[in-house]
Amino acid sequence: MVLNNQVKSEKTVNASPTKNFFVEMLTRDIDLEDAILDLLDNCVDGIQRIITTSDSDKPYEGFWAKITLSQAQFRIEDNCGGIPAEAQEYAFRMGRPVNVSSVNNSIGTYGIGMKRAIFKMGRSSRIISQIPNYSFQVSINPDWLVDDRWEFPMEEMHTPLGHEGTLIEVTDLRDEVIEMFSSEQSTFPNTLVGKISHYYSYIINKGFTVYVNDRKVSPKSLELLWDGVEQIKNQSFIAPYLYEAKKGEVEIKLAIGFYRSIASENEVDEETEGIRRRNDDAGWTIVCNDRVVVYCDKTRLTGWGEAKLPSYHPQFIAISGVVHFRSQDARRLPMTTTKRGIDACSDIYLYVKGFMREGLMIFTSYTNKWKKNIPGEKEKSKQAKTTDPNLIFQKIPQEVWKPIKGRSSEGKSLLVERKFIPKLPVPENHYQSSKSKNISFSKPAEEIEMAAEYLFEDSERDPSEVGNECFEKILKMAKQ
Amino acid sequence: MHLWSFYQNDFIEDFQRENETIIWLDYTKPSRLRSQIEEFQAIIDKLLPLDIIKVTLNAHAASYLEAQKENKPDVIQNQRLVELCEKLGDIFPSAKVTTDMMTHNRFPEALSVILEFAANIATQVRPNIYFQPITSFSYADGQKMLTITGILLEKDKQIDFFDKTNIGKWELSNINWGKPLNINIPNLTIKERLYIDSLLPNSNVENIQSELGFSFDKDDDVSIDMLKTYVLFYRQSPFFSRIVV
Repeated sequence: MVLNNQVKSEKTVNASPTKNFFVEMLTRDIDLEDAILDLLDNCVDGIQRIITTSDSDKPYEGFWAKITLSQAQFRIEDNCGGIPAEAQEYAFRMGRPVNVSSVNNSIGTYGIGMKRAIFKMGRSSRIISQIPNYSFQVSINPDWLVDDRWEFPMEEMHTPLGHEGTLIEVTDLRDEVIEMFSSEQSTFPNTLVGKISHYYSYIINKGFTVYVNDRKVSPKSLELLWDGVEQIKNQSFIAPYLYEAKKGEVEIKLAIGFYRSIASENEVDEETEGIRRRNDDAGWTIVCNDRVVVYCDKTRLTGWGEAKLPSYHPQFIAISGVVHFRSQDARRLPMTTTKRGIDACSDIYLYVKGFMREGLMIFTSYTNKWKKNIPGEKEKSKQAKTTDPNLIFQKIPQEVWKPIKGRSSEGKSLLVERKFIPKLPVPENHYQSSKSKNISFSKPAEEIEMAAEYLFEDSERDPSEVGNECFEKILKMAKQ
Repeated sequence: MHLWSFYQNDFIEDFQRENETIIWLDYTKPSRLRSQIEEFQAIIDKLLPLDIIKVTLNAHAASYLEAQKENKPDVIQNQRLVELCEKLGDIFPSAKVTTDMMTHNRFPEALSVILEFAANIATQVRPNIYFQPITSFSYADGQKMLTITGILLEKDKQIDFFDKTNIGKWELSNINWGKPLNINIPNLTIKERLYIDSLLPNSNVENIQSELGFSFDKDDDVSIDMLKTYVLFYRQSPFFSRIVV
């Protein structure tokens, strides 16, 4: 043990971070597409500073970001308000100082995204910002990476963009980035657009426009099947399970249901063999302040395979769910620092996961009940139309929502909490299984197609439908 | 030559490349587009440099999504784009396929872009190899079809390959994933065919058109294009006739 009086003299050792750490290490934690999404997040945070109300359906209307990828440079320009004067002090620091609060409803929290994205791509850059009555340019040169100074040179400019907004240009690109941006064999521009259309779907649907190499990105939105509000009083109907709550500053909305008809036995077999008929949008999507952070997850992270729920299987290909978390303070949201995942241990997420599992079980159970009677299920679900879950939330009458009480101590802190459980159809003979039996047989594919063409004038009908129709026809004859 | 009968999926799963290989994936069903593209990728994965792949796809836009009479063209094109995107998911090249490609005439272009993206994804695991397109044609034998032929090349052998083969100078080659060449040949009677052939190769298309004295289409430009295509392919174009031996 060393006592204080034994210390002869006090010296210090250097514990300051090196630039190399920031440039080489931080950039390894993120892939290029996600680094660019961080820059788009900054555009959206810029909009949040400007807009005064989020009541409108299209609060981001009129705002845009244009991304250009080329062999010589990366460029992103927006009209989202520019870097405000008060933010100039910390916008270029490596990490947000503790005394700076984040923007309301923002998705950026940690103040590292812009710098990390720049260094991920290249060694030189310039950032130009225009706000009312003030514009400036900050330049980063390769020399900065090797000297000991942590400041960037900043110069005032006169309306450089012609509109309020920010322009970031990265040049002196890394070799692998040049390859990804400009090689003829590169898949990067397509995968970037694909990722923006998924992860920015809610933001784009609210009016924000993103261009990549002059092409407008279209959003991929999630819609769920439902029979319409007029069917709610019926014995059974197709609708999603809904849950909504407000916990402190965080609003939660959850919807899970079917986005398409359930998979036939043949489709399940094909999926299992790796023959995919179409893209699979099954699973949970989690959205924090409009930004998708988890997309179509089918793992234990979102409840699959936990607490008596089956693990994901192609049989459940039609089930899709979405959870929205919204808070003015992004630090309250259960997302990870990279915005590419959920903090699975956060109290609020664990609490909501209980409802995710409850909703999921309703639809896995429905699928199991109907899997032996696919034509019957199709008959039930054919009237249902795909609808934006937000519209369904609005249309469900007040009296059919169920309040939730005393679920847990976590639940007590919720100011408002309610759920809507759909009464899904059940096969007629489901509870009399001894009275019905399954018929299963295998025939050459060509012969099934021939029979399908004869019966439906459509050789691609599902074999289960063909088999069922054959039986129905013979049964009708037998009854005569 | 050996012939085997396989289900396609079994063939792709069991196939082991032993010699120089040429494979033709000849598809017709639009509903299976996703698995067809994935099989194309799986075959690329199994082949080696200088092996050749030809892939034929149904490129009939209406077979992917039929145009509803009540809908305007932009609605139909948007619906087709959404359908194609939903069908293909992560193998849909969102940055390159556009709504204006969702027409009867330009649909083969969209499928060509999709095949390019699929080939690039498939070769990502072997960064020194790529799929080099050689020809790309669209044609209609009942339904509009697209057929693309390409070769697996090592990137550093690209110049050597084109120097030795002169394929880049061949008038029918399409080595940069350009717009597929549409083969639209007029339906000719024996008499018409013999007459046109007798004028070739020493007459230009305008002269042949004028000598014939009638057009193959109500639009004269289309008729000229059809004749141009015929002149390009007349040596390869088959002629079927009933004969008595």
